[in-house]
Amino acid sequence: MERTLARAGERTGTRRRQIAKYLPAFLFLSPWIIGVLVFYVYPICAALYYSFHQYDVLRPARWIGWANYQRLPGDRYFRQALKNTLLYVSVGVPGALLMGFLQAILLNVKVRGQQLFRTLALVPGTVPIAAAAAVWLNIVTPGSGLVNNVFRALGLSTQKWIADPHAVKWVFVGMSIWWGSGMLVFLAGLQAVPLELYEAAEVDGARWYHRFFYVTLPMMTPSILFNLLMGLIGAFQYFAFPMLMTEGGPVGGSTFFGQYLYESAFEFWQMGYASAQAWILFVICAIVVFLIFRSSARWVYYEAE
Amino acid sequence: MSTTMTGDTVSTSVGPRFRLGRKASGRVTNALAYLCILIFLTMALLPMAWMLSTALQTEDQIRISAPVQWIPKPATLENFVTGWKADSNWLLYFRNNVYWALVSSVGLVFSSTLVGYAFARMQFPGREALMLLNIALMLLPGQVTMIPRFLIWARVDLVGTWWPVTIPFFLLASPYYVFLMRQFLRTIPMELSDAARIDGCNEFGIFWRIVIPLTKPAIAVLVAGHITWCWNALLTSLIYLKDNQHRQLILALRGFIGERARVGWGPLMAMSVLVALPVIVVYFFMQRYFIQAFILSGMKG
Repeated sequence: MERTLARAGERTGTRRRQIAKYLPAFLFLSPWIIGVLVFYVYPICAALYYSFHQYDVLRPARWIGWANYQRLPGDRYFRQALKNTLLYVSVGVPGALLMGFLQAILLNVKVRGQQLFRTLALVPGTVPIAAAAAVWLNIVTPGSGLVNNVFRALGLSTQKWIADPHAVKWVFVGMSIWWGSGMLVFLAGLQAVPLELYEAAEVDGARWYHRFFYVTLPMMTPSILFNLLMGLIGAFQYFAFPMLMTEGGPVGGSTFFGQYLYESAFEFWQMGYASAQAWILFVICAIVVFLIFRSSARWVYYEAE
Repeated sequence: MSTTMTGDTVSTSVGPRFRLGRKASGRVTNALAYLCILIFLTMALLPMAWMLSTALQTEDQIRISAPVQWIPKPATLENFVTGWKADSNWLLYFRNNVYWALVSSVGLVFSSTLVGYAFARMQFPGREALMLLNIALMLLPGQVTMIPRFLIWARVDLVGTWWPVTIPFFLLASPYYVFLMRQFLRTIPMELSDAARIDGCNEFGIFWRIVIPLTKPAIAVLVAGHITWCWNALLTSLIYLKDNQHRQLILALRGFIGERARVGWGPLMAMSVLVALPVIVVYFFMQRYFIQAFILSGMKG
C-alpha cells in the first residue's frame, strides 16, 4: 500500500517535472495553439455545420440536410464558375509555372548584368494587384486598348477581349502565363544544385541538354512540387483580378469559384449555401494535394542526407 | 570574351554555371542568352512601362495615340493632380493602409518568431506532428474558413473595426510565415543557445537577446511580404473594411476602375502608380534578403 502510494507520488512528481520541462515550449507555442483552434479548427467544423443549414445571419440557422449540396449541380452560375476555375487551374497554373521556370533559368545564366536583371525581374511581382489590374484593363480594353491598337497596326482584326463572354476567361489565363509564377523558388532551387554535379557531368562529356535533363531537372523536382502545390491551391482561390477587372462578367464569363462563393455569402447572405461551396473547395483541394503527394514519391528526387 | 570571363570570376556567387558553351560557340550562345533575357524582361516590365507612360500623357494623347505611343510628348503630371482630386480621401486611404500594414506586421512578427522559435529550437512532445499540421494549414484555401471567421467577428459585433484584421496576426494569421521563420531559425547554431543557457540565461532571454538579433533578415522578408499582402488583401478588405473610414487602397482603386469612364485612363493610371510606389520602394530596399529567404523556405525539412 505504502509502496504504491510512493510510486504514485513519484509518478505525479515526474509528470510535474515533465510539465515544468515543457512549459516554456508551450508558452512560446500558445499563440499558435489558440490561433489554430479559433481560426482554423473551429471554422472548418463550423463551415461543415453551416453547410447543412439555411442561414442568412439575421434569422437563426435552420437545418435543411443535404439541400445546399443538392442545389449545387443544378446551379448554372456555380457550374460555370467551377468550369472557369478548372480551366484556370489546368491551363493557367502549368503555363505560369513553365514561364516561371524559364525566367529562373534565364536569370541564372551567368552573363554580365545578372544582378541588374534579377532586380528588374522582381519588380512586376511587387506591383499591387489593383494597379496591375488597372493597367491590364487598359491593355485589353475592347475599343482602343494597347493590344487592339497593335493588332490594328499589324492589320489583324481587333477582338472584344474582356467584353466577350467566351474570350474573357482566356484573358485571365493568358495574363497569369504572361507574368509567370514561382520564379523565386525556382531560382533558389537552381542555386542550390551542387556545382560538382555539373562539373562531373561535363567531365563525362554531357552536352548542355544532357546536363539540363539529367542534372538540373531532377534536382529541381522538390521546387517543382512546392510551386505546383502552392500554385494549384492559389488558383482554386483565384479572386482578385477578375473581381477588380470584370466583376465576373460579362454574363458570368469570368466568374471563378472564389468570387461565386464570396457573392453567395456576402452579397446574397446565403451563408449555408456558401459554406457548402467552401467544403466542396476543401474536398477538391484535399484530393488534389493527396494525389500530388502520392505521385511525388515517383517523380520528386530527395537527396539522401 | 576575356573581359566577360574575368567579369564572371569576379562576380562568382554560389550557383550552377550555365556557361553556355566556350570560345567559338560561346559568343553565339551568350548573345542568345541576352536575347532571351531581353524578351523576358520586356514582357515582365511592359505593363508597368505602359502604366507609367499612360499616367504621364494628356487625355488627348491617350485617346488619339495611333497606333501606340510610348513616349509621352509632352510629359505631364496633370493626371496625378486630377486623380488625387477625384476622390477627396486618398490621404486617408494611404494612412489606413499604412496603419493596417504596420499594426498587423507587429502582430505577425510577434507570433511567427515565438512560434517559429518553439518549432525550430525547443523540445516538446508532438512537435513533428504539429509542424505537419502547420504545413497542411499552409495548403488550406482561405475561403474554407472565411465564413465562420466572419461570423465569429459578427457575433461580437466587431465587423467594420480594426480588430478582425489585426488580432489574428498576433495569434496565427499565416502558417506560411511560421514555416518560414522555423526554417530560418534552424540555421542559427544551437551552440549559441547552449552557451547562453550555461551562463544562466532562461529560454526567453535566449530568444530575445541571442536569437532575435540574428533574425533580422528573416523579419525583414516577412514584413516586406506582409506589406504587399496588405496592399493586395481584396477579400479581407471587402469583408471587414468596406466603410469609408477604414477603406484600403485596393478598394479605392477598385472604385476608380469601376468609374474609369468618368475618371479617365490617365488619372486611373496615375493613381495606380501612386498606389504601387510604396510597395516597390519597400522591395527595393529589401531585395537582397529575398533569395536567401526563399532558399530557406525551400523544401527540405
